Amino acid sequence: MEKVLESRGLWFAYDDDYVLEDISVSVDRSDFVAIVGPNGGGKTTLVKLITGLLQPTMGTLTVLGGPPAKAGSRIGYVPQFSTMDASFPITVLEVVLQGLFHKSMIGPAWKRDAVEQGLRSLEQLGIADLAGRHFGQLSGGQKQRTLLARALVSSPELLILDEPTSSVDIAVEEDIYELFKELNSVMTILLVTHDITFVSSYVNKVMCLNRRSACHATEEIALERERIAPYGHKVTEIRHQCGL
Amino acid sequence: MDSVIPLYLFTFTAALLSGIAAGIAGTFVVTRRLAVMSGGLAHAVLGGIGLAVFLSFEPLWGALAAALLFVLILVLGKNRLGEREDTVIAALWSLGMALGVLFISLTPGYTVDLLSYLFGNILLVTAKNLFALAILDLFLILGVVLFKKHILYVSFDEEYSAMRGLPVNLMSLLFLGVIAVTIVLLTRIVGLVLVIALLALPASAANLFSRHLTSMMILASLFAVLFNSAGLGISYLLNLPSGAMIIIVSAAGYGAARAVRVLMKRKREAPEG
Repeated sequence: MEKVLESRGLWFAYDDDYVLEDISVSVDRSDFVAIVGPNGGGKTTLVKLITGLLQPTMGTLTVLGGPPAKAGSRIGYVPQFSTMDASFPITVLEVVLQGLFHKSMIGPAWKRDAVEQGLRSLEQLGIADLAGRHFGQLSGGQKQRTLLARALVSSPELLILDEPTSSVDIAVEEDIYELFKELNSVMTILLVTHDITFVSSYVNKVMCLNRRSACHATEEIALERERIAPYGHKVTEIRHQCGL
Repeated sequence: MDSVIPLYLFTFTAALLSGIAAGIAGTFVVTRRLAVMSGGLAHAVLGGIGLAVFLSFEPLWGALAAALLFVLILVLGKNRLGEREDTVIAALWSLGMALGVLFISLTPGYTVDLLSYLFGNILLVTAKNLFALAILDLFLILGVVLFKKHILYVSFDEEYSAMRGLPVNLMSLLFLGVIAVTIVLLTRIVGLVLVIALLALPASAANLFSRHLTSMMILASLFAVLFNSAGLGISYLLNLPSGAMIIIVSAAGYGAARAVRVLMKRKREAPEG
C-alpha cells in the first residue's frame, strides 16, 4: 500500500546547525500520528519539510507518493493562528476559500460552486453563521475552526495540525479532538503537540522528535503514562525508553 | 504648457492621482508591516537625487534607481547574508542621505532647493510628474483587479500560499518594487521625509472600517485624496508649506477615524432603546 509519508535518512540544517538528523519515518493511510518533542526539537521544521516549504539537506522524503512540493494541494494544513495579524482585513469565508485557491485563478470574483463548497466546509464545523465576519475579531476556538475549515475544504488526503489547541480552552479542545477522530476515518492526520497525555487516547502512533526520531505505537505510551506524572518530563522519559 | 492649466485644477489633479496610489500602495505597506522599510527607502532616495543633480540629469531617474537599489540590497542582505532587516534599513537610510547631501554640495553653482526634496512643494510638480502618477495608478488598479486573490492570500498567510504553489518570493519582491516606485513619485508632492505618513495614515484609518482588502484599498484612496485636497487647500489659503499641511491633515484625519471607530463600538454595545 502507498505510504502517505516516508523518509529515509532525512537531515536538515539551517546554515550549519543540524535540526533534524537521520530521520526515517513512515506513515500509513488512516494513521493518526502525534509528533511530540521539546521546543527546538525540530517539530516545526519537519512540518515545513513535509509541506514543501523547506528542502532536505540530505536524504529522501516522499509525501503522498511524490516530492512534497507536488503534494501541496492534497494536504490540509492548520498553522498556529496566534502569530496571525488580528487586524488584517479578511472575512471568515475568504480565509476558508484560500483552501481552494490556485495561482491560475485570475480576477476578483469567486465561482459560485467554490463559495458553496466554502460554506459547506464552515457548516461542517458549525460556524456557517460566521461566514461574513472579520476573521481577526473571532474567539480563539472560532479562529481554530475557520483554519480547520480552510484545511478541509479541498478534501485533503493528509491533514497536518500544528498545536491545534494551544490557544483554546479545555471544552473546545475536547470538541476539536472528537472532530479529528471523526475525520481520521477518511484522512491521515499528523498532529504536532506538547500534550501527549491528552492526545494518546486518540492517536495510534507517536513520533518523538528531538533532532532524532523514534516511533511508538500508542499501547506503549499508555503504559508509560501511568508512571510519568509531571508534564515537563514526559517527552524525555519516552525518548529515553526507546534508547536514544 | 504647464501655465495653461489653472493652478487649482492642477493641484486637485495632483491630490487625486497621488491619493489613489497612496491608498493602494499604503494598504500594502500597512498590512505587510513595511512602514519602517518604506520610511528608510524614502530617505535613502536622496542619494540618487543628489547623484542625478551632480551629473545633471533628471532627478526622478536617480531617485528611481536609488529606490530599486535599496530594495535589492535589502533583499540580498537579509536573504543571502542573513543580516537583520532593521539594521540594513537603518544603514541604507543614513547612507543614502549622506550621499545625497555630499553630491548636492559638490554640484557646481549649487542651486538645488534641498528643502523642496525633503518636504515637497506642490508648485514644483510638473505635468510630467502627473502623467507618471496616472500611469502608476492605472498599473496599480489593473494589478489589483487581476490579482486580487493572489495579493490577499500572500499578504494574509504567506506560508499557506507557498504550500499551495504561489510564487511568494516573486510577489514579495513585486510588492517592494511597487512601494518603491510609488514613494519616488509621491516625494515630489509631500517630500521624502513626509511621504511615509501619506502611505501609512490613510491606509491605517481605512483598516479600522474594512473587512476586505479591496475595500480597505478603496477607502484608503478616498481618505488620501481627501487629506491631500484638504491639506493643499489649507496650504494655499493660508500660504503654508503644502507637504507639511497634507501630513498634519492626514494625522488629524487618522485621529478622527479612531474616534469614530470608538463611538461606533460604544453604540453597538449600548443596550437597545
